[in-house]
Formats: sequence, C-alpha cells, structure tokens
Amino acid sequence: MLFNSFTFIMFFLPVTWIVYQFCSRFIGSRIALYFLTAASLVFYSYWEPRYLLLILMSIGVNFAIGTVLVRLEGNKQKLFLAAGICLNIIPLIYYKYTNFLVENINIFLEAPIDPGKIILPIGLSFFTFQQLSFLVDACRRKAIALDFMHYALFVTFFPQLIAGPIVHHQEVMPQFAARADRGDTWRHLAIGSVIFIIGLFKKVVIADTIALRSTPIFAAVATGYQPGFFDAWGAAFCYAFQIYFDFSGYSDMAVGLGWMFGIKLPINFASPYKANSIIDFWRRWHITLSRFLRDYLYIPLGGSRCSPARHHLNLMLTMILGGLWHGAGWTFLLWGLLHGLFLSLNQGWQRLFPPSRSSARRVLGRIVTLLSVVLAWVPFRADSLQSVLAFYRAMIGLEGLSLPTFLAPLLAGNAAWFANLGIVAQGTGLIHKNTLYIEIPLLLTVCWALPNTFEWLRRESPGLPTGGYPATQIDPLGPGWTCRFDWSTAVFMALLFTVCLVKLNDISEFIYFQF
Amino acid sequence: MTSPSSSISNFEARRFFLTLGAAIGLFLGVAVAISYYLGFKQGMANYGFQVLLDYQKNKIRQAQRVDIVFLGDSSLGNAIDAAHFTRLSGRDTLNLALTGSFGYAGSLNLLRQVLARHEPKVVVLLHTVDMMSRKLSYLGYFQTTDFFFNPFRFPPEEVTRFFLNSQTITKVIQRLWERATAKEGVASGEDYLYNDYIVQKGGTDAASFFRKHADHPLTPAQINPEKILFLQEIPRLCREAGIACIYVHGPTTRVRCDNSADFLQAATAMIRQLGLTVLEEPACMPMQDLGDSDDHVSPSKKQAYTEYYYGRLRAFLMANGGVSP
Repeated sequence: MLFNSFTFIMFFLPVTWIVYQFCSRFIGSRIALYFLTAASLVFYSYWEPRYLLLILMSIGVNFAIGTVLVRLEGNKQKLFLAAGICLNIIPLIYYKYTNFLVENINIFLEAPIDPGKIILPIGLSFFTFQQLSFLVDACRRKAIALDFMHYALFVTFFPQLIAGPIVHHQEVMPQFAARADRGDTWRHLAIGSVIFIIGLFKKVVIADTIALRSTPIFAAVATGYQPGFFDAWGAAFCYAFQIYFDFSGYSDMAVGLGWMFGIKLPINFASPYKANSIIDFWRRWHITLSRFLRDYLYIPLGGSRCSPARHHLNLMLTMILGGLWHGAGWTFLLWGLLHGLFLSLNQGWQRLFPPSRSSARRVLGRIVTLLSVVLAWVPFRADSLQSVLAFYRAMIGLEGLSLPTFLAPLLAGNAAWFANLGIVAQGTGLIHKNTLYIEIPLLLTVCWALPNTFEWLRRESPGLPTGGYPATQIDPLGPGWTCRFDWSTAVFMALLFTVCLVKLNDISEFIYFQF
Repeated sequence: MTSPSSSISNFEARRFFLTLGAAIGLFLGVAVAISYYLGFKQGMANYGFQVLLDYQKNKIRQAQRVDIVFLGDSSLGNAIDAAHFTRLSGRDTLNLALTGSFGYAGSLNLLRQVLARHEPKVVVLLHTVDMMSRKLSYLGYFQTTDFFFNPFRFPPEEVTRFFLNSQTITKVIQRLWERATAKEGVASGEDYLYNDYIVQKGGTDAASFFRKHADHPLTPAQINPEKILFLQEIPRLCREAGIACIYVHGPTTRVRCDNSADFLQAATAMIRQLGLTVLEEPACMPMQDLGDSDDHVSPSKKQAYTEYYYGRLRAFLMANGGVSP
C-alpha cells in the first residue's frame, strides 16, 4: 500500500486513526499500541501477504537475540551478535543480491545458473538496518528496557516501515512507553495533516510530473540513443529533482503520519541541495541512513581516527556499501564510489582550505556540490554502465554541442568553424525547451530559496534532530517565514490536497519503495 | 510532544482541522463536478466521442422498431451500412458502433438500453480483431451506463479515476477556454459524423499498416483474460431476453489474418466459452480496401463489406428470424 493511494488516504488512514484514538481513550493505551502494531502489519501485508511471516520472524528472532545480548558479556556476547548480524544479513543478501550475483557469475563463468524469480520484500533493507542497530546497541547496553510490544511497533510502525526513516529504537520506544497526551490530539492531527499534505504534493505533483521529463530520455539511452549535451544535462537535472521531491515528499509524509499518532520521527531530509559541500550534503540527504552508516560501519572501521589513507579507504568502503544498499547493480556501486571519491576530495580540500564564511566560497561550494550530485545521479538512474558512459560523454561535450535553433544566427557568420568544434544550432534534442528554460530553473529556485517543511513549521519542532547534523537542529524561534495555522493556511492546504487527489489517478511509485 | 514555542493550542488546532476538512470537501466537490459532470456527462473532455455516444443513444430512443442490432467499435462503424443491411435482410437494423476505447463495456451498456425499449431478434457483436488483447475499459462502462452502477463492484482506483481525473479536468478547462475565446473544435455533430458514423480522416497509409501487422503479429500470450468481465454479461442478457447473439471478428489486413491465426483461435475459444456463437474468420482486407486505420474499411467499400457480412451472417439470421421471408 502506498501513501499516495486512495486506499491508504480514504480508508486505511482514517480507520486506523479513529480506532487507535478510540482504543486510547476508552480501552487503554497498551491496547491501542497492540492495534497500531496489527494495523501496521496489515499495511505491510497488503502488498504481499506471504512476506508477513518474514517480518514476524525477523521481529521475534531479533528481539530474542537482543534480550540475550544485554545479559551477556565478552566473547559469548560477540558470538551472539555475530549470529544475529548473520541472521539479518543472509535474508537481505538472498532477496536483494542473489540475482545480481548469479547474473555476474553467469557472465564470467558462462554458467547457466537460474536462481528463479526472487522478489525483494518491501522494506527489507529498512527494517533490517533498524534491527541491526538495535542488536549492536543491546551489546553496548544502550538498548532500553525491553518490551516486546514496543519493539514490535518500533519495527513495524507503518509510517516508517517501507521506506524509512531508519528509526533508532531510543527515538521511538520511549514515546510508545509514554502515556499519550490526549489533550493534544487535535494539535497532532492538524500539524500531522499539514506535513502530510506538503509531502503528498511534493511527491504526486512535483516528483511525478518531472519524472515525465527524465524517464523518456533515460529510456531512449537504454535502447541505444546517444543523448546530446542538453539532453544529458536536462535529463540528469530532471532526475535530480525527481528523486529530491520524491524522497523529500515521502519523508514529510512519514513524519506527518507519525504526528497524527502522537509520535515524532527523526528528520530524514533537510534541504540537501542547499549543501555547500558533499560532506554537508550527506548531513542533509537520507540523514538516518547516513547516521546508520556512520555509527555502525564507518566508525567501527576506524572512521577518521587513523592514517589518512585508511581514513579515505573507510570513506570509500562505507559509501560503496551505501550504494549497494540502494540497489544490486554495478551502477549503484559506481554511484557509491563516486560519492566516496567526492567525500575524500572534499575532506582533502577542507584540510588545505578550511571552511570560511565567505559568501563567494559558499555560493561556489553550493554550485560545485550540486553539479557533483547531479553527475552522480546518472549511474543511480541509468540502467547500465553503457548508458552511464553515453550520458557522461554527452555531458562533457564529447558528443558535440547542439544549441537551441534560435541561436543559429549567432553561429551563422562562422558556422563551419563552429561545426569543426562540434557546435551546431540544430535544437537541444529530446528534452523539451520548457523543461530547460522554465521547469529546471523554477525547481532549483524552490530548492534553494524556500524553507523546507521542518523550517517552515519550526515552532512546532516537527521532527527529531540528529546529533552531528546541524541542518536538523532548527531553532524553533529562529527568523524567517513560519506556518500560521489560520484559515488561509487551511484553505491553501485544502487546495493542495485536492490537486493531489486529482493527480493520484496518474500512475506513480516511490523511488525509495524499491529499496 | 508539545513544543514550548508552539503557535497553536489544541482548540485552535481543532478549528484549523475542521476548516481544512470543510475546504477539502468544497474543493473536491468542485473537482468532481468539473471532472465527472462537465467532463464526462456533458462530454466536454471527450467532445467527439460524446457526440457519437449521444447520436447512438438517440437512435435507440427514436427507432420505431429494431430487429437486428449491431454493437461494436469503429471497425463495425466503418464496415456496416445499416440502411443497406436493412434492405438486404428485410429487417430493421441499427448500427450502434462506438469506438475501441469503450471496449465491450460500451457494447454491453448500449445493449441494455436497446433491450429496455425494443425487442430485437438478433444481436451482432462486431469488434476489432485485437479487442481481446486490449486493456479493460472501466471508463467506457462508466461513460455509457444509463443505469446506477454499484461502485463497490469495481476497483476503487477505476471509480475514482472516473469521478476525479486530472486529464479530464485539464481538457474541460481547455474547452472552456476555447469557448471563451470563441475557438471551437467540433461545433456540432454535423462535421464529425458522416454516413452514420465518424467521418474518416482523409487518406490511408495501407502499406504502413501492412508493414506494422507483418512486424507485430498477435499471439495468444497477448490475450487479456480480464476482458471477459464485461463481455460475459452480454450472452447472459441475450439468454434472459431470449434473443440470438453472435460475435464476429472485425475486418483486418490480410497479413494479420495470416500471421495471427493462433491468437484468433484462442480469442474465439475464450469467447465461445462464455456462451456466444462466434464467426471465427475475420474479413481479410487487401490494401485497396483499407481506410484511415488498419481495421477500418474504406468508405467506398462500406456497402460491399455490408454485403459480405450479410452473406456470412445469413444462415444465422435465417435461423433466428433475422431475415424477412
């Protein structure tokens, strides 16, 4: 079940909320939590009922191991932890990477192994990582008093179940344990609705529309079409905005839904295209994944407290694995590799030229960061390394430069000379001129100039901040435009919501749904 | 969870939420009015097809007597001249062809409307050869029904797509703009219809249709099993009304006749299983008989194909009172 579907919005969400509130008020908060867990499992199994057993087993096994881990010490504890990690990683490898591994083995060894049709259970990557962090923290005695119901809800809570945020148990389990503040029900609903509607609009109206610009070009390149300069950059930028608003929208919806049930979720997305460096980018994009990789992979590997060479290796390894987490394919590996490289270069640059408050440097940093990120999105989206190569060749001008036809008079005087350089004025290819001149600049302006949802609603402190991620630590009384909960905002939100409902009939999917 | 800097109390939040709900109700009502009423019922989103649908419904209302009813899509509309068929058979014949986008659902609903007013002896379903491979047309059903339909019988996304549709709303707004700026597409049905059906666009590209069919034969794997959803209602209605119904594949190119035999066989078997008599062989058109599409007979050949189909249906018609003695 997707958040952007009539079934969810018109049926599942209102019914779940009403029953949850009824249970909270008249039966008991614990029963309400039981219900919420059951509803979350219904939400999960709506897609494919047979994988319900998988998630239930995962919850049971991990909780049992976690309960044992807090009581053990030394080598026994390490052994149990290793077993727990294997029990989580093995299904992930099987469902997510078998096809990729077998495909490559078949190519190299020319062996006709057929693994059969393996369908990746939705949300597997997310709830696996969530539970891995729980097990590690159980070893470190950071796991709080273990209650199975709270744990089950921590894993299955439907707003974050299928595409994050990767919630830390310490963030939500205390909230489940606390008595619900009934006096704030309408406040939670109002704030949650606003956040949800904003997220829905970003996803259904912006992301799904801009996807129509990039998808045909990527599809054409996949069938052998060689894009030109504008096609390549246009499609890359369009995809950059598609994934931005898709993920931003989803993250907002998850937080909004959490609010409706009185649960605050962590901020997972904080205007990443405003980042002034790649390091800053990864403190704004998929924050909870970045946090997980930092705490459970990068730091245990040694982090930055080692030789420079080892430090860079740790960065590369972490980002490569982060890339592979997103998908089983060489293109995802390349994406991770690129970001690892960018981070290493950025680290080196900052050692040579420490960050300053210079506006010029910040602006330049923002532009360079955005261009780097857009370049890296190409392998993330492309279907093969050949397509990536076709894009990159075009992006650096190796396929010539075909300018818009209205610029033809500029070349007219020296057409032959320009043609020798590969510069002609025969149009910009498949990309529509409105996309180049209007949509991309407009979306860039939105990303750079407008506050994000959490900044706009800062007075409500809508999302949990993350230590070490400054963009999530928003001053509730800081300056700038904030949301006023008056009739004009209500009418505006209603208009956005109606537009979303109308657009819902167009086909769409969440990009992060497939992870 | 309450932030000390919060700008809203619980009471104010309730008022906000109720305002939000009321405004959503209002905007949704307007959107449904535009999408459903103006877009579909008034035909502003699909002006041409609405002209055709109204034309066919009017025929049902105005007919004094109906003995033979033809139901189907554009392959029917271009192949059968009802007046000529009436002369050949001696029986009053109606051709109620819609378009392929209405699918079997359109034929089903028009049949219901015919049976509500008349007592035909024979019903002939004539649909394009690849109809069994196409997507199910829920919109076709919703658009053509004159009866109340139970929305819970259908997938919710299909029902909502009918009542609330962004493309429909966009087209309605475009249409309103054209009217406001005095630009009109088809001002009335006069320019849209000719010889009892939609006027064909000039010219034909028969060679390219033949090439397309040669390159893309139909295969049994392309049959969409969901297509029987509306189709299966038709033989049931026929049985209840005690009338004879027959299914005929529409005309297509000779190339398709040759290279898609397996598909036709499989589609025929599926249709027969529903209780319909089927004439399996389609009319296989040479290049010179093609009109503006790969399943449209040229206007100059319409009478000839009417005679062809009369010849093929004659035995069935005679057995069921569809031919005047």
